[in-house]
Amino acid sequence: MKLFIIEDEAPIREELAQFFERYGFQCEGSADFQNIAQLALASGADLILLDINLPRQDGFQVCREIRQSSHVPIIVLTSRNTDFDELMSLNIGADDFVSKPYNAQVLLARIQKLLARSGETQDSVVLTHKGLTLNLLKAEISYNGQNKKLTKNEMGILRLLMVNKGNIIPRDAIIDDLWQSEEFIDENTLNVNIVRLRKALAEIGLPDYLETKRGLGYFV
Amino acid sequence: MKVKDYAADHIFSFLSLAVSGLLVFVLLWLIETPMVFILFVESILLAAFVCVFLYDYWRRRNYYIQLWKILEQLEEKTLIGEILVQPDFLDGQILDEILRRCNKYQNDRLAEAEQDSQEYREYIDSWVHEIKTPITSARLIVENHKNPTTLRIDDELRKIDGFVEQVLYYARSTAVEKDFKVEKTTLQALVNSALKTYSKPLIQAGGRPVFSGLDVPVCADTKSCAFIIGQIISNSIKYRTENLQISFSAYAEQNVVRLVISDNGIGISSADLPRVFDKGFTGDNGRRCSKSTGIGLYLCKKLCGKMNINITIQSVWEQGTTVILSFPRESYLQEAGL
Repeated sequence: MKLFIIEDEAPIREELAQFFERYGFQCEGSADFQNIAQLALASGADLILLDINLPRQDGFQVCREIRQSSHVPIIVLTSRNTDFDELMSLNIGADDFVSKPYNAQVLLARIQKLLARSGETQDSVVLTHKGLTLNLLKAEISYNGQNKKLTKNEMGILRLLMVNKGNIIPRDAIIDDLWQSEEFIDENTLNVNIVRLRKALAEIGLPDYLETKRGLGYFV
Repeated sequence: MKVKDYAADHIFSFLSLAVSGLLVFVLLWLIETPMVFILFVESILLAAFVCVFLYDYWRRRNYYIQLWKILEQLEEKTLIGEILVQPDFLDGQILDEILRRCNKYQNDRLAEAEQDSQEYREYIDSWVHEIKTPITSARLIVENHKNPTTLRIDDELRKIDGFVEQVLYYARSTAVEKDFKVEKTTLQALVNSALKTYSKPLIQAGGRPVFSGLDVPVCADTKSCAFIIGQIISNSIKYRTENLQISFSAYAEQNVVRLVISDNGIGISSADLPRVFDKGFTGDNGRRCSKSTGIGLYLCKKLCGKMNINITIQSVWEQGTTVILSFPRESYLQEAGL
């Protein structure tokens, strides 16, 4: 899976690439905005992320140019969140519109949805860390040939910890992450889910995989 | 212009005319003119005076009645100078010229001020969009490097983003045009979107939302409504007591759908309650909580007004606050031809 990022702010371009690479995407971008449409098409990307405010020509023009020769899915990312921009983007052939500041997880979900709809099945939505594999599509963990299904909340917690492997994630950040997928849980529910997740991990032979840093949070 | 007022205004002329009439009478009487002749002269004088005053009164009266009528019918009062008919008496002409010049000056200044405020609004608008780029890149950096420190920075970034949104909606609330995009949605979707924005402070306050019957379809501008609900949630967090509870429930009635948002916070005293929607009003709670700005609810009221949503507030001191948003139903809007 390859994404092409058309964005003139270098920090955003780099951070987006870094973020998507963790989820198994290949990312490409360029600062040559004169020929950006050709570059995007030549890269053979499966999906294009497009900013509207660009130097030399605006994103609408780029979008039109890409649409002349390709049906590759395009998501418009912009800080100009007026209805006019949204309508304009969708009218000239963009598939989705996300305004800044966007939540990276929401953006990821939209990309996955769009790719699934355009028939591009993403085969690489697995996270691996210290021998444990988490399949995000099947909500399944596997270790040494043993598999175990997880509930939605358990998977959410494990995904957050595995994406940020080695970093301590505070409890409120975990709850917040689940709230973003509309699971409005409280502290007690988090405790229950952590206990269940530990039990599931122990059953496939990883009893001490999820560690607690007292007073700070959890990490894997 | 009443006769009485006109007469009072010309009291000096009347007096001097009366005196001169009297003097003529005395003079003629002294030179032993026959009485009939004196009376004849006096009546000529009287007739001349009456004619002069009647003509003058009639002229002015007609002109000013017309002027008042125009002024009352005119929407932009400062344009009166432009559409005046020139009067045919001298002092009126002078005043007319002064009025014209004043109005012209006034209208120029008004246009200038409008231009300035329009430019300022445009600048704010573009500034908001500028500032969103660094906020986005900072939040992406946090997303890629999550740890307790960066997550605390993220909390601050969210606050910045909240303030920036408020600026955007403030600018939008003063704009003349209504740029709202009304679409079909549900109350649950609106509430969820607001909850996600204020998730971190709510979680840190130990609050958990409770929903009941929110699966009601409404037609509304999603972003603005989520902003309004967000302001109400933000108030619940700000003015909380121990164990924050916030509940969202919906009631469908014949013409409206009511969204009821209740918390168990410190409440609002009955003396302050009628003024909470006033701009800059912070009241008793404002003196206790330094974070009060008096802008949040004012903006809510203004935006609601533009979107035909009715917002009301109820509160019991030290028990909690309830905000009710009444969305017009789709069928009702259709009947009203909106």
